[in-house]
Amino acid sequence: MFTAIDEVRERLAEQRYICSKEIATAVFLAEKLGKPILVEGPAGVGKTDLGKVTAAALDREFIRLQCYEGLDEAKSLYEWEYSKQLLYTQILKDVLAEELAGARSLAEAVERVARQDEVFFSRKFIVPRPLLRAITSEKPALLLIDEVDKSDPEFEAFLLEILSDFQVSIPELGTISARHQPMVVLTSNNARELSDALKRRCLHLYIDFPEREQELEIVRLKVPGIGERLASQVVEVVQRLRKLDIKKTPGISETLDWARALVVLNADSLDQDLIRDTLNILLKYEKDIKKAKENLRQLASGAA
Amino acid sequence: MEERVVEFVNALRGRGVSVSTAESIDALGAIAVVGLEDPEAFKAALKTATVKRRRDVHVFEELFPLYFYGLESAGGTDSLEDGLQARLEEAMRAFGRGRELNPMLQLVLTGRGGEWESFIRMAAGEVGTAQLATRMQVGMYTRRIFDAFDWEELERQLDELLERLRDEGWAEEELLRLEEAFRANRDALRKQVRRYVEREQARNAERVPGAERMERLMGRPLSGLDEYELQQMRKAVDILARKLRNRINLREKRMKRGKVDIKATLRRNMQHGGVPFELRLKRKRMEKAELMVLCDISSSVARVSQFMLQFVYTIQDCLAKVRSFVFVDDLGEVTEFFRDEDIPKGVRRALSEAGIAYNARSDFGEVFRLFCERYLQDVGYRTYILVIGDARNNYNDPGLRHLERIRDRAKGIIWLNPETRPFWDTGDSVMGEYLPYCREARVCRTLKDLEDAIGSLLL
Repeated sequence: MFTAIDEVRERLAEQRYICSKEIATAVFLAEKLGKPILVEGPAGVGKTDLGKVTAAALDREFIRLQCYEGLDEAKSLYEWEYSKQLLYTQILKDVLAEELAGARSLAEAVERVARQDEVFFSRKFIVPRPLLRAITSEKPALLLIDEVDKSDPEFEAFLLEILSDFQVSIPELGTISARHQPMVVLTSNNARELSDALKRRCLHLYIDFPEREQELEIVRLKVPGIGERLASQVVEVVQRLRKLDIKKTPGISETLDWARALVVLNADSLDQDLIRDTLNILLKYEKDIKKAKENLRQLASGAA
Repeated sequence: MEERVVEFVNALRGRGVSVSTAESIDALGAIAVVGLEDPEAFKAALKTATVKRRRDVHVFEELFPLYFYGLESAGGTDSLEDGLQARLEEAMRAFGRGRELNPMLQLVLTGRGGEWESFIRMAAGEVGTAQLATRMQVGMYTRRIFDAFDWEELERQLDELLERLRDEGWAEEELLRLEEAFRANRDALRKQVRRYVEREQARNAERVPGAERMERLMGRPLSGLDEYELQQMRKAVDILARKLRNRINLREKRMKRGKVDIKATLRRNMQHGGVPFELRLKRKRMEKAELMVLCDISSSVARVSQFMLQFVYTIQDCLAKVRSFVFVDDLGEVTEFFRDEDIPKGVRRALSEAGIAYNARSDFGEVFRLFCERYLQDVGYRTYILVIGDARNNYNDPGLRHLERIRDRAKGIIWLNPETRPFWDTGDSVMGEYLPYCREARVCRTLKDLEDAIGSLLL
């Protein structure tokens, strides 16, 4: 349990995650109010990480559901293990034969088999998927539903049902309610607009690229052995790069990759040549790299 | 505070941000948890519970200071020191005995800005702010409301009070201090009144019209709307498009059911020894349409084109691909302008920056020729060509052979004409000549027509 917003910040910082007050407030409220939290923002700003570190900070079991087009109940909630059921029937053939011995009609035989139904539709034969695991988990869980925008609208509607009562009904077993209500974090890259219904039920958090100071702090924390001068130059260049009109703006993860690479290369400060040679770590499109090279002088001036 | 939050939520709604009752309850719950001590956390809590769309954030940022300014900074009032405050209160009680004391006197003297609000509201009630709509009026209304406090009377009472305190033996610097606080707080009050007026103005200004009025506007020809109505229509387009999108998504959902696919079912169930445990269904794949929109932006048709563009791009995720072009007597592609999320801005840029002179005379024949020359290779068997224009060709060559080439390649040509049928083929209109090449031709004068056209095309 968090008791104050600043505590959220500290505890996340212990997990090596630096965040703004806005993020901390949202996480704090999500836990206090027991509401799911929907995190949006450009790629690589630490949306998924926020879920991971919150789980660690709260000592909750971390369960992740990665969404993709075509994801359905069977893959997200539970599935009957057909082959195992089949195998068991094969092995238990003799027992079944005994059971059926003396049945005078087909109807009676079916009746007898039906009586044994629950053996084959018991928890033993269920494969729990992330949603069911989050609900049945012994330890309080944190469920991360990653990239929910990639899933189909129907799946979203199905999620709504789960998120509103945290219980699942399996026709053969009955209703299973959550032992502990899991904390839920959803992330979205805005590939499509999520439904109003889903948004209504969630707290909303938009994580943008960090300010210069904050990013510098993150670099210092996450890239051990980086010199002060190099760190501030790296951040400066990335911040300038984000202002260019490019296709894939580098996120924090790219900044960190770049900083790590530079440390491996034993650089202690940046110059134009070094930037040019290592741009491909930061930018993922040929066009972007070209554009950055055209603006190299401007990117490097003052910073390097 | 709760009241203020509810008011704030109403203001958000007034500006088209949809905040449900459940969400406003969440907001109150969030504030109860976070408390009021930390303004930054308060703001973050309110934001996280009410604003769920990035494009609504600016509305939040704009309105927040108007409603919760007092929280952001202590309000710029001049509060008296505690000791002085207590003595003043006592003195005021004695002073107020047997006479009618203006309650504002004490409030202004002591600088408790939080309590001013209700008085400002009362004064505003007397003045009446229903007519307040534009920013120009803010100054005037501020003055009116501020003057409603009867400062002459207040000054007189202040002088009397000070006189009396002097007789009671208060030190001269204490009296000076009181006078100073009075002046400072009067200015602070003026600022607070101004903020109140700004808030009212913001609330009155961009109110989204109700459903009934919207319905009426939708049935009116776009060419007959004034600037204000147009602005409201732009919001209507958004709502309509969202509805349509939901309908399309629903249809896709229904498509997922289907007949049993025997081959796939057998293949899938090999592992179970051919016992069909898992069924495989035949699924029809819904083909999303590709769309190329050709918009006439000469003055007679520009409005319909403008709305069409907004509409099409709002629902573009239901379409496989959208490309858009504007023309008068020359043709320019404007797809690029819609890369960003901000569609209205894209529309504005499409109309102004495409390099097409809109005061030229329409020449459809030339435009079709240019289209064939530049873009025909991109037209596929799934591509619909949507033409928006009045087919008034200014007696130029209608360019039928080019249109024929386009028709042969595309899935269909759909023509939306903002003129009603009796006007087709009158004067320089060559609609009749184009008709045989069109899979469909419709009159499109109102937003309703537009919705129907798009709906029937996609559904």
